[in-house]
Amino acid sequence: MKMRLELAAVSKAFGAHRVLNNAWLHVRGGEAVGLIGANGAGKTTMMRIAAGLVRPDTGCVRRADERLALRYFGGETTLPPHVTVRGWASLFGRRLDDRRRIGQLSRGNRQLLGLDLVLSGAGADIILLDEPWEGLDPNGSEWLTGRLSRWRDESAAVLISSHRLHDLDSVCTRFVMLEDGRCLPITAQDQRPRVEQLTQAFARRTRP
Amino acid sequence: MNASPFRYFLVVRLHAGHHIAVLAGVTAVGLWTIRMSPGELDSALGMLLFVQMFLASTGFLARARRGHFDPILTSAYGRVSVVLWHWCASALPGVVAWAIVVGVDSISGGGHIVSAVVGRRFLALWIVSAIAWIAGFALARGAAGALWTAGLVAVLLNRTDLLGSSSGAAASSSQLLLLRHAAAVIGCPFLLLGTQAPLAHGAIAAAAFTTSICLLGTWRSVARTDFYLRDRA
Repeated sequence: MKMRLELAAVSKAFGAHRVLNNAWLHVRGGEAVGLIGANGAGKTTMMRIAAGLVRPDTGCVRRADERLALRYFGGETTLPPHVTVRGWASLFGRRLDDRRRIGQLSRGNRQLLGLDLVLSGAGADIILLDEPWEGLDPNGSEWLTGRLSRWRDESAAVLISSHRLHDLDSVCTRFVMLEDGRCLPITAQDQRPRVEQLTQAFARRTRP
Repeated sequence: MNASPFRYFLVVRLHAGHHIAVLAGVTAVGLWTIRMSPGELDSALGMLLFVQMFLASTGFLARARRGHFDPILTSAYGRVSVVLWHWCASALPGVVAWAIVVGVDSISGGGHIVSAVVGRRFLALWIVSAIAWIAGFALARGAAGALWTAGLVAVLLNRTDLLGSSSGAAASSSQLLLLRHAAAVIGCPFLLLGTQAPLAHGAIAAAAFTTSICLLGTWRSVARTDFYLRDRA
């Protein structure tokens, strides 16, 4: 499959704090890449750079074609709380007959609403999700895993940032660890279950 | 996402409900004023201008950094286009109220429609809609209107001679005075209402030009703006 999205030698600093330092990452069509890293490692910054919301200080973000449809969801906190569910859904071409404000929903339902709308419809070429399983109950998690697997199988390029290693493992074909501002691949080294390897890699690299 | 930027900003509602309620009230008072005193269009428009100082100051950056505009900023529409439509949606309620008041005045034989739609009065609306939005770009909603009002009150209390009319007729042709008049018009667009203020055409043109340049500059600056999440970056 062709490369759909590439972050090439991306660096980003907020004041004196260097968040990303010459980070490389690419996602091909038909693969789901799991981005893991300690709290504050720069995962959200990386996702927003990939989405074009934050500009890298150096390096660049390349898409195979600028016309590729990109879908990004940064979590339920990014939904405007005063907008009605019905109004928000209408922006995505969906009809939902719920007149409550988004802020009146529970955290899990807000997350589910945001994900459902971003992942609905057809024609997503690149999907970027930041902590998508946060706040979801087991049914919601199962639904999300199924939906992401479907998009991956339909050749979308999927990049997911999450701490939920079991959920990531059920969707992702490849993993990358964000450490000291760089993306390090996590490769399978033996016959142990992959989640166990991921957990060990995470513990080894984030231990103080 | 299917929606256009303009529709997006209408749905996410840039204006507080109480601001719209105040605008409706001021519009009603304005209509009553021109009905009772047909020559008092500028009083009605002056009230609308004052409300527009708050309404147009919707604050782009704060909400963008909460992620509220993520779907439209990551859509196929360019950033500059998104911000242009944000300004249009910010100014829209005040412009609609303005059109209602001017339309009613015109129907009742007021005869100011040209000035209110393309002339000095319209320029006052243009300046307020642009400057309030620019000044409030990185501030909370309505904050630019509050700051602007505080500035105008300070000028009023100090009895500052904005136009420098006391400096004599000989100096009135100087470029300095022209610039001073232009700055006064931008800082206090209410000077464009009524017929008292002796403003040179050059000063009015300079004010319009400067406001337009500031607006274009703000639109262009968005291309270099980072929309990181304020509470998570």
